[in-house]
Amino acid sequence: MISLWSRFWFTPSSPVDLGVGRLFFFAGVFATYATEDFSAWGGVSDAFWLPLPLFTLLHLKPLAPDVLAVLQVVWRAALLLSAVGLFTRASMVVASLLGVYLLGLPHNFGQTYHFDAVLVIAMCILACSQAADACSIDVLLRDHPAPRRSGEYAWPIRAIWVAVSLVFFAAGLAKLRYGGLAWITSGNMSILLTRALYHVSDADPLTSAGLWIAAHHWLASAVAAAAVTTEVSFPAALISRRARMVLVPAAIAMLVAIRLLMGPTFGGFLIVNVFWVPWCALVVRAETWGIVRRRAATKPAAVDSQSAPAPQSSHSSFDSHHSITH
Amino acid sequence: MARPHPPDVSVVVSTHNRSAVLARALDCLTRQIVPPNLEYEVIVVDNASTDETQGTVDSFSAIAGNVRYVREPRLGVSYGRNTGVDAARAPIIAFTDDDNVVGNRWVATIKALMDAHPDAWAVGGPIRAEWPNEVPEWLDSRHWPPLAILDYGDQKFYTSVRDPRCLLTANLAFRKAVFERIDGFSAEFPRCQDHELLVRMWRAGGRALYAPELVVGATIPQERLTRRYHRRWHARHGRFSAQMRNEELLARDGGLRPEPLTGTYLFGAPSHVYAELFRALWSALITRIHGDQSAALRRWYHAVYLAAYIQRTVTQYQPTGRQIVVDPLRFAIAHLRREAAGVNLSLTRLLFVHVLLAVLIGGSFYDIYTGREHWPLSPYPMFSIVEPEASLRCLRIVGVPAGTGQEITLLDNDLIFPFDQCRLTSALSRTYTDPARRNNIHGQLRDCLDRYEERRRAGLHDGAPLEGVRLYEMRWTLQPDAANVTTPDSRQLIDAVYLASASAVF
Repeated sequence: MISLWSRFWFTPSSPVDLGVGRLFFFAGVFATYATEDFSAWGGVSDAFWLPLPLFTLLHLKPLAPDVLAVLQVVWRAALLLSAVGLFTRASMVVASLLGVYLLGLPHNFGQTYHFDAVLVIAMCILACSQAADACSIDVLLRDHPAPRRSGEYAWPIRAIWVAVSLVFFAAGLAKLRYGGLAWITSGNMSILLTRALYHVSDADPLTSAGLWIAAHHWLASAVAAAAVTTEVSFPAALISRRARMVLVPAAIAMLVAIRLLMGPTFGGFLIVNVFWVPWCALVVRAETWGIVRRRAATKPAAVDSQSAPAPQSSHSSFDSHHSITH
Repeated sequence: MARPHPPDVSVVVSTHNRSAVLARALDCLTRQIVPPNLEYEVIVVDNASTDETQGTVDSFSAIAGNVRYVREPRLGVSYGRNTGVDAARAPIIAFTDDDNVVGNRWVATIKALMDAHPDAWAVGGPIRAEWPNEVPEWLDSRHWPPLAILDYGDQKFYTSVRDPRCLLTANLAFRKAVFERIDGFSAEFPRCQDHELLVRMWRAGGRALYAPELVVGATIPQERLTRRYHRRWHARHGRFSAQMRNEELLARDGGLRPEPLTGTYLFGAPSHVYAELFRALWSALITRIHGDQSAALRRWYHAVYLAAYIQRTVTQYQPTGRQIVVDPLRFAIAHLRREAAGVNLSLTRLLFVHVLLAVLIGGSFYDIYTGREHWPLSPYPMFSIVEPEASLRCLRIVGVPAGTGQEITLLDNDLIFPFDQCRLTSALSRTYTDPARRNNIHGQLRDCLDRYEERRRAGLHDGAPLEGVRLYEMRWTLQPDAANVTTPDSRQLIDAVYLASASAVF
């Protein structure tokens, strides 16, 4: 059990997956919140103030709008620096600390949304990681040799996987716990899809196709069953590559469908999915594909000159991705 | 009749109350075909027997002349064999058991092997089974150890510190000088005494030759073919192995570890035994599920052995108060240090990561279990309630444009920024349904109106100027085409706030 645990969290891995994930993640968060104005929360009446346990624990209060405006500029700068990998460790720490405060602040006014919680968790995990060891300006600037494969580059990705899995699993479990099988078999999904048109969410649905689905009871039940199945079985993606290939796209499709048919915005969840992608393997596969293509293109010439050596470029390219993978 | 010279080989058989099977063993031992110049003797040590052992031995003495009876009153095979060693006159002492059947050239083979391999301190060989009629299906070669069957194949090799494979005294011969150098069998070990002796011999630099041609047969009694026997044998073996610290003897390369034995211990047992116990139990379960009964039993018996090993070790462990605290800590730290080194992390770093993971996973499961929210962790209960009917009941805030008396919806997020309609009505609902906070509703509406007007005057939205806002509880019966979104079936005024004056309607 202990070795299974260690193998899951700390399998020596290349820093590339974590580095590329960091780049896309922070860039995605920056893009998502580039125009978000948190400063207005500083001006909301105390009558709305209903603090989260975390804010109570840390005695955090809404700061003045001007101060919040400065903080959000600093936060965005930290996000950008974290993405490009300059002063990465410090940037990620600042981004995560300010992220906890700024993203958490709106949830202290009577309603807690969940679309950004996993972003905060991911930022905190990355701040504790060595995600700057690949795909960063810091790496280009320093003279150190390329870092070797280490468990240090595996656990942050696994931790983010677990965080995402817990979100889906908890949501699925809550449906079965509070609604039971009736959540699927009754007309509940039809009601939810119809009700979404009555401005009950943070955003209205992008289409009214939900009404069409709601009109077909069996289809609504099938959608509900698919949603619950995806959510409850999502932890399987942690341990099975095949399950990952099915469940991660299914979960992404579900979030997109929720936005289209019901309204709630789960953009944050979509950003975190960059950590499911095996970037290193993709690079290798792309290069291999390129080599095969080039060899196929040069094959007739090689047949003509029987003893012609393989193209030098192919060898060097293959060597280069060997150095990435091993 | 006087012998021309002292015997070349002394065969020692220690027996206790088994005169019935002893006769067969002695019959084989007295029918040995040996070269003319080879003399041997058979020493039967009566180990506190109360049956007809002496009579049986005397009968063979009368026939063969080279069979001697020796009495050892202290019960224990080590005592018996040591007495046999003391009585032996030959420079080579061979051991076999009273229930074994040796081949008719067994003594000659021992002598020949010892002469051909002067560097061997001992010579041993395979012990082949004579099976009864019914052998259970599960009993394959992996289950031989409890039956005292041994077969390392058909190649000669030396056992030594580097290859400490155990040979059994049912078919083992030593040079007498070995006993003078390392003493005899230890009386502290009622079982495994041959293994313990070999370990001492290996550590003293000795080697034992495994010779496949030196064969002994063992009759397997039916009662040794039951699972109960095997389970009990492994438990006993575990206890005696713990006594000789068997699980600590081997190094990673398979050789004997140098003394003194050191390592990581938990309650006196080496840490890897606990891990191995869990592995054995787990693989027993998995193998059983896969349907391989024999392999599952083998692993289960191994788990029994390890559990008995731990049990004996823990029983013998008499720690000081400090050790009770320090040992588990030392165990945990050593384990973590090993884990950390295996994944290129420092111990501090590994601990830090585990604390982080514990907060994430433990906190999430706490929220899931209790249904309580500790953002950013959450039980994610949204949309989990089954809606009883196709209706909607919620609070909605509407604006009252100045001078018109009409009402306008405030669904556009820009109007009531930084709230959106959903967040605002949820906040108002939580305040309204909480008697302790219900008085805040008025202040909240006032804040909405003030912010709307402030933002309008600043040009941040182009909504109509408002003279007030009203909060309604609205009810809709959901329509399949959602045509009645803007016209609720009913509504009830909760509160209203106006720029000039305010009225509360609860």
